Amino acid sequence: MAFRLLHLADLLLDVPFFGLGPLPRAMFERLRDAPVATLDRLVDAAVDHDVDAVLIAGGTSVGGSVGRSAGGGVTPRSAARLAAALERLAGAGIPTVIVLNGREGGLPTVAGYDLPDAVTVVEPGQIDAVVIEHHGEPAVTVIAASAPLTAEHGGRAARHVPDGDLVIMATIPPGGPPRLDPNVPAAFWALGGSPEPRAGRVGAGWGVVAAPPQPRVLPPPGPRPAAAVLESGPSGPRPPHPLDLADVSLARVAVDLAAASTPQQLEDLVAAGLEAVVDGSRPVMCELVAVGVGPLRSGLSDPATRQRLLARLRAQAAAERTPVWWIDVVTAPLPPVYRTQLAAHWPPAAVIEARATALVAAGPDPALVDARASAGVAGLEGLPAPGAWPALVGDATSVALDALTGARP
Amino acid sequence: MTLESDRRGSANGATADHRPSAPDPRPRPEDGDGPAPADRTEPVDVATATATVRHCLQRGQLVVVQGPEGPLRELARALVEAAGTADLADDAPRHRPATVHDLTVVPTATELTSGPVDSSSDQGQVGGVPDGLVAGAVAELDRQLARVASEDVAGVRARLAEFERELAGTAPPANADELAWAVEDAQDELEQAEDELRALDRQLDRLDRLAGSTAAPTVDDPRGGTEARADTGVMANPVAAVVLDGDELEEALHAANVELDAAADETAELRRALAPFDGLPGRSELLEAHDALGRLRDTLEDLDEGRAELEEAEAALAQAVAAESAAALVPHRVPTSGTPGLLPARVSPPATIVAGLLIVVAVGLLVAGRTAAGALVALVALAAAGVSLLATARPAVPEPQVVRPLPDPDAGTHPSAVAEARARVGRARSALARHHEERSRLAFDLRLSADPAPEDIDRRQADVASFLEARRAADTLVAELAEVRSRFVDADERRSRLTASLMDAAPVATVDPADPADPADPAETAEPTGGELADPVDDGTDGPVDDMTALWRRHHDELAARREAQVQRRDERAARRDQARAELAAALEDATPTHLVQARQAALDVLVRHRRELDRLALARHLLVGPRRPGPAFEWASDLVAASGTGAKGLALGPGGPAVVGGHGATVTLAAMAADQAHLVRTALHLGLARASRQHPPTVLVGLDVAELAPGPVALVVGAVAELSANQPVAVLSWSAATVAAVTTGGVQAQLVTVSAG
Repeated sequence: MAFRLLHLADLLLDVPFFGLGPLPRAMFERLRDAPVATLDRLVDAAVDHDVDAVLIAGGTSVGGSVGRSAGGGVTPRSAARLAAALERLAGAGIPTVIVLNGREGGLPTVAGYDLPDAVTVVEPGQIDAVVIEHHGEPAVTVIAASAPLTAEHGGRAARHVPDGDLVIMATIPPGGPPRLDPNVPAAFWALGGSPEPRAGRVGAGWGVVAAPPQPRVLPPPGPRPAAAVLESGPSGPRPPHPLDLADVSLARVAVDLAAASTPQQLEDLVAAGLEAVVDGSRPVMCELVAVGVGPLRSGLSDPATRQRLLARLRAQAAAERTPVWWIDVVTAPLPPVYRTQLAAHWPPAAVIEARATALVAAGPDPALVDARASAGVAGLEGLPAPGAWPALVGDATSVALDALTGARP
Repeated sequence: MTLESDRRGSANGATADHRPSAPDPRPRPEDGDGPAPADRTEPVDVATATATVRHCLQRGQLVVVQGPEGPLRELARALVEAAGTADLADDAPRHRPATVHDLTVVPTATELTSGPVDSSSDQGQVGGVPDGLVAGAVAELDRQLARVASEDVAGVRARLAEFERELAGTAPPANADELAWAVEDAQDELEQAEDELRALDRQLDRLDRLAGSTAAPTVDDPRGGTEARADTGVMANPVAAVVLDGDELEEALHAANVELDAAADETAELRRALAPFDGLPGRSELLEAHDALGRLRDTLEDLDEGRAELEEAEAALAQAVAAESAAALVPHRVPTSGTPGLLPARVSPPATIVAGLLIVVAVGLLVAGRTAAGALVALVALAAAGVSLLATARPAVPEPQVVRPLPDPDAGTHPSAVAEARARVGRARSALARHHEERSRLAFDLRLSADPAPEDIDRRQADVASFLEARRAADTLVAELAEVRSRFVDADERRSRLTASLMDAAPVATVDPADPADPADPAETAEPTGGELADPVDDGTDGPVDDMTALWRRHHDELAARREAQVQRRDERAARRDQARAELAAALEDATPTHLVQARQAALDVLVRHRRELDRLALARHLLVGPRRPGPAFEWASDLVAASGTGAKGLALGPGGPAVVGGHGATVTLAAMAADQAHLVRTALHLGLARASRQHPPTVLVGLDVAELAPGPVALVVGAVAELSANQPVAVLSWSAATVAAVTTGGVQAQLVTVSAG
């Protein structure tokens, strides 16, 4: 039986944005409302694609310490917008099935408001089977398991469901995704709870992991459709069709410094990279990453130079009325292969490399305190996390080598 | 690519090295050591230099312009600016000498692997790092550090503190309780409003029902809503008028409504309680089944008894028949053939055989001629034959034989014991057949097998007993239901009456029900009150149909008006509720200062980035200058220099390495002093002492503890200090007697000051 479902997860209505720095007022307000604005995009996408149901695999809110400590928590306005979105879906004849992850106590609600009958919320520790209709005919059975139950439990429950198409939805537990039994005749395994989306074959069906439709931190470069349309036709389940529901796009534009010997060339490269991430329908929060080795590298290693370039990019975007806000300009560390070659043929680089290796091995505690005191840097408390230390040393090594090779005797 | 500017300043004497190479590792003369730069440059003309620089720029190669300002340097700058780097250069501070810092890069990997590497001498280098390069790189990092450190993070910090204060003022924990209470109050208010709304809805529904049940009378149905009213019992209970004023009427109506609701609820509850008994067989049916079961059991017993009786009767019959046969039948001889009195002759077999044999023998003997013997044998044979004849000639005594007589065809007409027994058997058989028939019938009626076991009957009887018990409970409930029903009817009647009264004209005259002569007694007034609406029908009279129609119409209109008013009130309530919700949402929104948190987050972001940048630069600097292991000497010297006032310079030598400390805060630690790193010590001393020697006033403070040093470095240190002291006054400050002794014996012409370590 043919059916079409919209699968997403981790709306995270109570999680603000992190690490984007100071913003213009308009951009800030747009970002503040972006998580709930995603709901409207969700409803529009569901109606446009004429789906039979919407599956939300957990993470409507964080509900735990993360949301509260960040000053979050689902505001009444967000809860009301969620209720309105579910109402719109129900009004369009699209049922919604929602499971909860381990941290959610329940769905954010509005006092005095009852969810429409078309919305099924599976309570924690419960497992439910919902029959979804396609053009009035029962088309697919959705087995929905809320944490602590997992997709594995859903697979076991599938044995008790009569023949017909099956979709199993659940959240991924903290320990990682459970084994998806390829013998379970599920057309789709609709999972949620991962920061990055992915999909793959499971038996004759597909395993689809949805990610937060509105990312809060800069994702890796490249498109990142976090939701998916799960469709099955007469020939069986089709590959999931990805959907990007983000209200604000967060992107990184990488330019290779080897290809730019002048600032103008650099800006041309940036403009070319920007075209790939601007789609015109939503604002883009963008970070420029300078990678590789080129004539401008040592110049960009100077924070002041980067700030000047950042200001210039922002002014350019404002002049061209491009919906882009440049967050930052950063230089990626020197490529390891380059550093190795440099160290092999240039004694100063070898010394720096050896010291960096020793620093990484020693850890942040004494070395960073020493470095701060030596550089006369005051007012910094605390140390970076041990996990972040190698990256910091790597950055510093690149800066040192840049400074060394660019230094004037 | 390295372009060495021409020190002679000749316009056409510019030199350029076409081969890509690493930066020149040689120390600079201004560092105070080393020979003048070797002449490793080749003169190039301007065109060649231009082409070279452009070529390098296009390929992204390293362009390091070395040497003092000169024509080639100017040329390089011009080329670089022409290549489009003016933007960065323009933004750069004016005091920066050239665009070199912005535009120099290391050579590409290919050039590194293919280009010459000058590692012939580490003279003047630190671990292969040219000290000039290190100094320049450190200076560059210091410049960047100073710039980053001078960024306006103080403002960000102040703003952050302000955010924190604001957050503390508006968010938990300070006002958490108050906020929670406010929210709770608002929720209570909402719930209260919703309760009221529900009550209004219920009232509206009742009014709707009432309006429906009080349809205006027509000619065909002059009573209007007859059936509904009949259901409510109004017709059966003509009301004695109770006249109340408006408020009392309202109250009474409300009370009646409440009672009605309660009765309706109770009815519903009873109905729910009765629901399980739906489908229960009726009482008479159950009792019949009970009786039938009892009869069946009796029939089974009768069957058993019938069987026993039949057996008994059959036994009696057999006995009687036997007795009668014994009495009626006489034994007699059966007539035989032959002479009477003589039994038929029978041959005695042995004598006959013997006689025969003897005859045969005698004949044989006679034939053989033995006459005597033959005669003898013949005699014997005759004797035997005689014996045989005698034996067979004895008369036999016949034995009597009993012969069963034929059945008596006249047995019925002659009541005998047998006949009676037969009759008894017949009766028993017919009774058994009846019982069988009864049993089959009952078993069929009771849906049991044709030959039910007693256990089946027991089970069925238990079922019926439990059904009867349930039926009794259901009957109790039904009785209660009837009672509630009657209460409902009463309340509804009262409600109808009161409603009608309320609808009726006001003011209502006060009547005295006890006074039958009171003209205001509604029972006697011409104008019917609400309670008397049914009266004309009920008492058999036709009544004024037109008046009633008008009355009901008015009643209906009044109800509609009330309903409209209540709908309006409900809408108002709903609006108020929505407003309260909106206010609550707004209050909560304000109480959760998302924008404040976001702004604080942004400020934190700035600080984090700032800190990360500083850490990165500090670490990079640390990588360049090497680890610093501050020993007591260093700390002591630093303190001493700091205490000596602005402008004091000093060189501290300690186990952590030599360091120049001074008013500008510059600290350069070059290397660890280890016994196997003599060249590092030499270089460090060289750089440190050289810098110290250029400082003014030329006072060198030396903190040194030779006890912590290996002998080799100590000799180097002492030699270096001695060399320095030859040209300028050197004050050697030390807390170690061993150091003082070492320096003294080393020939240092210096003012030696021994300071206590404490």
